[in-house]
Amino acid sequence: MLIRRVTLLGAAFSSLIASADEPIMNMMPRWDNGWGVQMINEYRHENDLLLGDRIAYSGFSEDVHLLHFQGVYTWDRSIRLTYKIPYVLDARREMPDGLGGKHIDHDNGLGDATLALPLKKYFNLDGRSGSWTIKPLLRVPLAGDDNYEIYDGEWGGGLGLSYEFEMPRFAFLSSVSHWAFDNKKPSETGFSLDLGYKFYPLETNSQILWETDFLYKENGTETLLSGPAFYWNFNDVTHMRLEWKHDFHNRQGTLDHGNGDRFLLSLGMVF
Amino acid sequence: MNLIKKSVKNWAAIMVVVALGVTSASAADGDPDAKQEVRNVAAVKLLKEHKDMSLVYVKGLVCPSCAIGIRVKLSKLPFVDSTRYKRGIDMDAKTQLLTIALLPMVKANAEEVEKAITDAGYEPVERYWLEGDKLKTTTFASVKKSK
Repeated sequence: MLIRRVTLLGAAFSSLIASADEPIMNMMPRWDNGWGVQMINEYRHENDLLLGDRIAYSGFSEDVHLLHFQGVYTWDRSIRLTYKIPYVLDARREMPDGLGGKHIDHDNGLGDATLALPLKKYFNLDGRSGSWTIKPLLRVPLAGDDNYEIYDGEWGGGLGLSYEFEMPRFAFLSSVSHWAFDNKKPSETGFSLDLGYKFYPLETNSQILWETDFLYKENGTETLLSGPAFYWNFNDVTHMRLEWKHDFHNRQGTLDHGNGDRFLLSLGMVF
Repeated sequence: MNLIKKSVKNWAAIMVVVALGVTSASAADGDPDAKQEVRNVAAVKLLKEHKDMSLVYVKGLVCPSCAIGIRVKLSKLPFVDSTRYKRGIDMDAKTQLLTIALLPMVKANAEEVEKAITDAGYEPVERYWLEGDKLKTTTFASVKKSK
């Protein structure tokens, strides 16, 4: 009974932080009738099971390996449609078995899709170009219904706002988003702040970024992730991005894994 | 430790404040790497060194990745020599100068150039040419209308 209760408690609120980034690499395509696809290979490791501020079960880890399939179409520069479909290659978590040991759960298969309609207002100034964005969001449940699911399988609606600009050497992006869900999943509010330094080696375009995300959930969960990213554009079609984020602060409103790192390798193609 | 935790919890507020600060600071033009005088010098140098090309100042052309659309749109135009530069187009994020390689003895169509740059999400301001050693400019129609 205890095993079942603990498992379900963890399962009910096990979820990922929805990334505020949009394909392709948050940048493209800016031109009319442009489109692109992006694949992200994500690996996440969480060290402990947390409840509130404290480590409830030290060394009870969670490892998640995901592929994200994403795409974008730009009608004209002010209207885009984007989709994100995650696929869980393998997820493994350790939970207490109620007898002082661990039992291990696995998950794989489709995750919940996200559709967005970014509406953009661009501006071009001397030495600076950027945009304001308002973005209605829709979460479409595609995940299964096992006792352990990385994605929660619930309909959701959200709204995102962002402001970004670039200069020849610097880039800045800030965004805020809010999600409300259909059933048990608590609502979420997220903030993002990205700062980038641009350079142009061997006639390619590169950028080093420092990115910070903060997520607050209605159940009291707080997560602050931050870390470096590297973007490289070596031809007009192909774009690559490497990212590492560390959990600098984790507070879990319900029993869930935390205190970890995530690594992402993205490859985007734009036409 | 408690102090660190408290500070961390204030991150959201800090990020919002930073975002608002940067937003208000960015209402004016940026601090371009190249002022107009520097751009003019660069334009004269380019025009003297290269033949069969059109040179355009594109406002906001500060991100070569975001501006790929300019190349996508312009390289399809019939007067562009796509064998030169990168598919016929060279972009300088510092000076915001766009160089279009033209086929020999073929003249660029200013309206098509203007439309291609606008469709790519940028603002063509003026194009340059040399009269002797003197730099001359012609403002694009959309800029004239907005004045």
